[in-house]
Amino acid sequence: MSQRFRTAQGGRVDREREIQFTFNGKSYTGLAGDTLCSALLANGVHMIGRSWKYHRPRGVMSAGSEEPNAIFQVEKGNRTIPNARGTQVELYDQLDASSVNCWPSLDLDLLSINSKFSRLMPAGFYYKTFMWPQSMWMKYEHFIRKASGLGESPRELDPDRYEHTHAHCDVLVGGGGVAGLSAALAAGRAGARVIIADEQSEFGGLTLASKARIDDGEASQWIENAVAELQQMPEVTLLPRSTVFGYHDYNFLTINQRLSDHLPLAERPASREKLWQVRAQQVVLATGAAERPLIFANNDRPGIMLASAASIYSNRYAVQPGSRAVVFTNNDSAYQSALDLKAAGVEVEAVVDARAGSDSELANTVRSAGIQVINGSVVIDTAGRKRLSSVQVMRLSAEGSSVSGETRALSCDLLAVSGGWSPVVHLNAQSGAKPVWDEANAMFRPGEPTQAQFSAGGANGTLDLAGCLQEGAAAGNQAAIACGFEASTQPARAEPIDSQAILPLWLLPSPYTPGRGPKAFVDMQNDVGAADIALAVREGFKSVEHVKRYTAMGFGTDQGKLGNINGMGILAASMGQSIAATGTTTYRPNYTPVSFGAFAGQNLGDRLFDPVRKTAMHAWHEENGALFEDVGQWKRPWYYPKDGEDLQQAIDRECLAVRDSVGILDASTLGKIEIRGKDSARFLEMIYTNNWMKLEVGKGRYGFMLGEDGMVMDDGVTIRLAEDHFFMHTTTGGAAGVLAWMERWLQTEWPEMEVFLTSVTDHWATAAVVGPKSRAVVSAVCDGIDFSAQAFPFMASKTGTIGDVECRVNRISFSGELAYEVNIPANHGRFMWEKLMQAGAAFNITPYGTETMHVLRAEKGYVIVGQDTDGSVTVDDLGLNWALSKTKDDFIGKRSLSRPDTVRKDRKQLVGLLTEDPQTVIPEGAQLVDDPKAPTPVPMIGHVSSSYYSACCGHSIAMALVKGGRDRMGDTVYASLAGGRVIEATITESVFYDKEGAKADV
Amino acid sequence: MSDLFQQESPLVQIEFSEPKGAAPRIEEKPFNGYLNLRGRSDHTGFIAGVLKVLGVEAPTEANTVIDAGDNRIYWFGPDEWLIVTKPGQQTRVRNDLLAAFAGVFSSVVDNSSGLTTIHVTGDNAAALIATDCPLDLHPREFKPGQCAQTRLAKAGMTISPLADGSGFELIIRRSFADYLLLWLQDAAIAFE
Amino acid sequence: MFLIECPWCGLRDETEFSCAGEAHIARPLETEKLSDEEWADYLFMRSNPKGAHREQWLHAAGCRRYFNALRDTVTYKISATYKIGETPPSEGKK
Ligand SMILES: [Zn+2]
Repeated sequence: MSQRFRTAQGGRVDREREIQFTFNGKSYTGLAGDTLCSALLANGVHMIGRSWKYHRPRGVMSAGSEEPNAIFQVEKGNRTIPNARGTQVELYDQLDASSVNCWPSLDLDLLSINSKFSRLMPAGFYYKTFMWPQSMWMKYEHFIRKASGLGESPRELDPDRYEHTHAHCDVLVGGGGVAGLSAALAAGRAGARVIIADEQSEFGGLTLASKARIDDGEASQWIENAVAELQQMPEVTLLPRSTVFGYHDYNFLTINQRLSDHLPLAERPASREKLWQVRAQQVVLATGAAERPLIFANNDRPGIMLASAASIYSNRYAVQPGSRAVVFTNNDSAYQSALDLKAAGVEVEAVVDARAGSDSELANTVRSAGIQVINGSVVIDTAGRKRLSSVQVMRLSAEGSSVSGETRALSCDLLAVSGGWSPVVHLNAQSGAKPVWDEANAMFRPGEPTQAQFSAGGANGTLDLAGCLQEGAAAGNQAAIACGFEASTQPARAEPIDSQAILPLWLLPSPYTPGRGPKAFVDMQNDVGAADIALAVREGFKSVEHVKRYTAMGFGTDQGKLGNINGMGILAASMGQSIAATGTTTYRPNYTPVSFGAFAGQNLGDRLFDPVRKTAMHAWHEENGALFEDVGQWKRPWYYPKDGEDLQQAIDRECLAVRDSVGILDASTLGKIEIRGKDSARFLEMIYTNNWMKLEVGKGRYGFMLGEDGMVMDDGVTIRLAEDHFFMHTTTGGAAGVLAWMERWLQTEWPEMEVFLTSVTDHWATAAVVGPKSRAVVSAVCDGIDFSAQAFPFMASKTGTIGDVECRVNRISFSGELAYEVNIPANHGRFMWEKLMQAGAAFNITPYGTETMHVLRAEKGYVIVGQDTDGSVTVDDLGLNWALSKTKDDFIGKRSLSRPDTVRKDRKQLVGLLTEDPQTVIPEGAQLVDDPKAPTPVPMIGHVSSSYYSACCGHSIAMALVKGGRDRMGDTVYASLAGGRVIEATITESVFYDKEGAKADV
Repeated sequence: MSDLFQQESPLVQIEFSEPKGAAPRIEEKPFNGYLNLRGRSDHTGFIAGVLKVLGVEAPTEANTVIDAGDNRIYWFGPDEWLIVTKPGQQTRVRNDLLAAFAGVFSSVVDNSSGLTTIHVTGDNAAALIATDCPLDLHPREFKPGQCAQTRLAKAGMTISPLADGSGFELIIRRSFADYLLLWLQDAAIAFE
Repeated sequence: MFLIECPWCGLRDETEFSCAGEAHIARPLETEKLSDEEWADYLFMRSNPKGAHREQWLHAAGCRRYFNALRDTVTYKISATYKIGETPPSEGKK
């Protein structure tokens, strides 16, 4: 039996199930039911890591989520967890853990030399070091990175799944100790939908380690019964291993449930964690209270732990946390720990109590058990290298401000410390309440709730078992009643305990000169000492928030759960003010660290991170070798490379095919909105910049939409289908925004207008058939339409059929070619597309994607909203003033067109650019300058918005926005690129191909 | 591909398989007709038109759905409804409504290819949808006859409990359908 | 995460909504007669109060109706929501 410090009996561990595990490469044995820390302690391993800054040996401090020291790298490779709290890691077979912060090893840590120079690394050391000179950062960085890292983040792909769920309940109970269980029972019995979550593997909280009795039986039996009753209730959900880590607005709480971390790697299910997003009518916070340590010199040696932790290891885990113990306290609860330790076979040297006297029943029981009680004294220092060997005790003056007399050394390897209890008010504070300082009991209690919430038990500052049971039941009843249920559960009974008042102590008096003695640690994980806080105050930091940031107190993975309260007490004392006046730092989510996987859930990768919107012809595009481009959430064919073609070769081929014969483009992604009602034309007059009243039925018109600031927002062709019926096209990316925009005007500003809007973007599949042979292709496919130039002019719209299916054909061109957009209900989209491909085969019809579409339109100087505009471009800037009505009194954005800024002469205007070297393509986004040799900063005169190589033109073409550009035709400008490269270009008009527009007019 | 087929579901690229373990069944009910109906619910001509064609008045209680013979009418807003018809019936119903609404401020728009219907059934149907739907799907709160437009993952949907209590009907947009089905099938792994 | 009462659909999760900024900003009539300052005031100037704020919301994933909400910018509490055209609750009066 290797577990030398396992007690002979008792505890909640399974002595039949031995578990092998590895710590820092060495094999150990523990028992089922152990945590990593309890198993290490059972094997006598106390020094489990080194501290962050000074690399001091550290041991297990607690038995819960407040643990600052016992953080481990658990497992290696793709399942590795950095900074896992060993107090919460359940032991499983073949668990592999190692210390963080040690280099090269825990026993021989070369960086522990930091400890020797600790006086040279005070608070603010890193800030001061890196303030100046800046160049030194590079030199320090390497050292700092190695010295200050905690655990290592995984470098391999996470193999596990992470689940999400939304949940709704009447009553959410946060914390499953006896108060939480009582609340859940009360609410559950009333019929309420209840969720109760607890971070531990077992419900019961601290009482699992208690020998107290509830309702005339063992407390553990009551817990078992309560859990069994709750499990029988269909509307109650019990979530063990689940931390309520966030309390947000409107009773929205987030819970992280750990599904598999407690299982051997080989036995783990697919899902590792589950993130619960809970909306609760009422919340009961039963998160308990946490013991806090006392602050004295060298208070961080392995072997020094919280008194409650000593009890938990003794009682729950059947482990002797030491062989010879001293208990040091300022309150009554630690006396129970002295009894627990003694019962576990630990020799208890003494109870050192800072209070002048202690006369409670518990204290007297300790004395009767033969344990020496040293009243009116405090521990002033400790000794021991990698493990505590003794503590030094001195008399405390009556007023508690100094120590005096002989130093008395007590030999021990365990110091169980209690500085009192702090209600876990984190969730209450996160929810918007302000914790209230209770001077008499030296604790922050939960503040007045700002949401529908109750606090009960330890979380409410109630520390005795009877009180916890009572408050829990009362909160459960009240919460259920608030949800409309009848509830009247009587609380379970426990013996009341008489106890004597705490003597609040923050920084203990010391015989050392202030700032000269050994360090007394407040935040152990971040190595923040009491002197650092005093230094921060001397250097002028007054706010607790500033002191936190200057000293880094509370910034570790533990978020200062253990030490912050002492830090605030020391800060208050340093400033000579009360703790109430000093206040707390802000409690923010997350209560304990949450993995990134939990937040990401299943929303990962190309398919599920963001919606992938597909057109009806998507499969055809895939089958025919298309590469895709993301346009908003849509996947659009980008180009269709044939064997061996690169992008430019494919684009050249596609462009020439369209210009010479016929091409086909999937245009289904354009936004489509039906507009209906007698005021539709009047509405469009306001929405668009041009005139709509007189548009003929069966004809379309191109229009610009402006924001009220006069800037171009969207564009497209809208067709009049009937007097009171229009069909609007928007840009692909603008569809949802334009619909919401127009609805807003109708609903909020012009409710008297009779106009209805309906999105039909998804209903229609659209194929643009483009090129000189397009008429022949669509004529062969669409029945019932006369496609002759006379019968079907440019911007006309007609209906016909393909097979039995009605289609609509619009003669619209975004390429300068003869072109038709064929629309069919999307369920028939692929049918239509294949018909067109078959009919086009005779003309070598060429499917093309967005890249060729862009080149074709740029050759004609057509703008793309969102590419050639960026929210700061007007219609006039684009040189398209013909689209602005001269006759309308008003339209959205009109008034802004005469604002001083929009009529500036030096606004950027759209122009064309031709490069000196016809083969050189200027990168899009390139900045333009007049003189690249000018001293820096070189004045920028504009930028390139679109740029391509045009096979039809035989040279590169570009569109650019240039200050006063329209008056600068023929000027030379320079695109100034990274690395000093400069491209020379000439300003031209922006139409490069078929300037007369002859090709579309056939 | 031949040109024999004329219509395709938006889920043509999705493989549907038998549910594993306790995972819910996910299946498509394709090719229904979907008509977007707009009108003023206090206008007698509008009320009469709906009654004449569909045999019932359009529901005015928010978030409810009613059966109207072969058709179902979903409340979408104070002046907006979705009419779901049997496959192929949408053109007839639309034309009848347009005729009945002559002169009445209204709109009937065929969106039949823009939407499709999914049924999610089985013990874990609600749990599967709750993976990323913020609506409370508990039978105390959401009963047959109710419907809601809400979101599923990062897309919109209209959801209603099936009358027999076996699960839920989801009406989703064509262009998001493939994403949503992949997402649902992935989420269902948690129940296998 | 807010829980917002759509005046039509009832309480729904914030993720179904989008905020459209300050409410009760009427678009001026006869915009061409406004001075640049008057137009800029309509275009750019918003009240940005600490406390009660009347703002417009859209039930984007739901009924697609715009409505108004009276929201406290400090506590985030929405004390009332009301339909477009309805009189705002009195706390909102400035
Ligand atoms: Zn709504």
